Amino acid sequence: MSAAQGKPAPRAAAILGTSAKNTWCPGCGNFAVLNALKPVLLGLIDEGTRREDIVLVADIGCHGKIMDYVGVNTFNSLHGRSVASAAGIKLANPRLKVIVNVGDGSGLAEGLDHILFAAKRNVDITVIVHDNGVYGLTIGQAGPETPPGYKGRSTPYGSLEEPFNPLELLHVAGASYLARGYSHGIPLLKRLYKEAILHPGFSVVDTLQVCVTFRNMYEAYNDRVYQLEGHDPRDEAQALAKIREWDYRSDGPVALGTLSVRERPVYGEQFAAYGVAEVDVEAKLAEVFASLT
Amino acid sequence: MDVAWKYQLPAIILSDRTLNDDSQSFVADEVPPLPRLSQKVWDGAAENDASGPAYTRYLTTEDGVSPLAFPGREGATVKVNTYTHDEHGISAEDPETTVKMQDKWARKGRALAEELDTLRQVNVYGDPKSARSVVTWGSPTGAMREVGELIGVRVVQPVVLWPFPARQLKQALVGSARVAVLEMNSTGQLAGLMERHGLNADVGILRYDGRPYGVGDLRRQVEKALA
Repeated sequence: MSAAQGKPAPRAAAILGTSAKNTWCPGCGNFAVLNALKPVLLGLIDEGTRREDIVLVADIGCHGKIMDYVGVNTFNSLHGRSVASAAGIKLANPRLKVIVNVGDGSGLAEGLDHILFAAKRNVDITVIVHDNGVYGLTIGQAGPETPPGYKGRSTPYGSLEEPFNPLELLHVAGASYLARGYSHGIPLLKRLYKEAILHPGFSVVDTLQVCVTFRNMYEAYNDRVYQLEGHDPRDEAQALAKIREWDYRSDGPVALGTLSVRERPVYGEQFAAYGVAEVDVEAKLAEVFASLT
Repeated sequence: MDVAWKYQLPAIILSDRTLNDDSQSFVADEVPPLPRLSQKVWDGAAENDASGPAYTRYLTTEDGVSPLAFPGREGATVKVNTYTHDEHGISAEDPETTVKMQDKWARKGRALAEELDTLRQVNVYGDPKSARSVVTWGSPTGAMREVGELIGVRVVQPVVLWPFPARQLKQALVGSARVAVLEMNSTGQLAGLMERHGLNADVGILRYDGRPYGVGDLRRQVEKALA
């Protein structure tokens, strides 16, 4: 628009900010997600992705506030439904880069079926799980990744339940890119987020994102995390072994990095086989708008 | 669909199994074309500048409807927010913005009701002059139309339930001495809605055994109720 009219396009950096005041707790792991994701988006824009073609989708939880803090298209979905909304957005306009932020609560409890089916279908979207093992926004209830013994508002005598390994579950469901990052390590998060967004197919970066207020795991994680070296994420046996190495409850070593990459047909690409011609989205939108006006 | 698009609202179409499993013949060419409503689409004229993003998803307007743009539109940052938000779609918790946006929703609701009132929301079949009326909705309507013609009863069918078409329904019932409400549920859902708007029926004809009405069966029920 601006370029065509002889005006320089505003530097993306200037418009990726918003008027919103950040209300995460001081020390919140979400800052790391934000500070890794924004430069990745700016990098994509510098490399030619239109800012207008980026959509962030999230829902309810502290993670969801990220929508207010990034100056791109955002869609605030119902609790747990952001992956389903994102899949719809991507199918409606495959040109869009659709990135979902969920918590372990919204993404792996309320929305577990959606994330598994998106993995099964290999929808070309990226899911960043803000995995802190607690419902932080509602001030400290046990969630799907909370370990047994956790004392919170809903489990005053300690949680009785075991967490499950979300990456193993997603691997079985068919996810074609799986990685794990940690909120104490922005350079790695940047690499993983970029890889995941550029991966053709369904990608998940489980981000161990520490809730300093209700479940501070910094010390425990600092002792246990290590970055993968010499790991071949395209080797199924190696991938599965590394995915299973830490079960999300024991004290074992916690691998960070790209765990698994598979090549699978991307959902929607097969539609061409049913005689659906590739749609010129811009022209189609103009047509729809004209018919509505 | 036009109304849902114009007001950017989800529309819920009620149905039931009798309707879904049913098939009917009709002459496609004889279906009158629906009036098209004008839509409010973002003109894309404004540009981003120092004062902020040009496109404002929840722009304050007289009728509460903000211009529409989809993600991908050049120059637009489309922020859709289900939390209380400001005009740009940024979450808000201050009382002023909350009240302002609630008032915007209310204006939209009023505009929607006014627009719907210009469209036909209530059908009248059978004998429109009869002082005996049966109000019905959904799948028994077909059988009730036949009964209405057979025994000379006015048949009134609201096709919109919310916003409730009270004015049109009252008008359709003018001159009715006895009103029955025929429904396929055990609680009299439509009769309850009518009551909230000051339309008190004399009798309910309720069926909830999971079976549809045939004309003969329904005729006996209606004659009994209106006697």
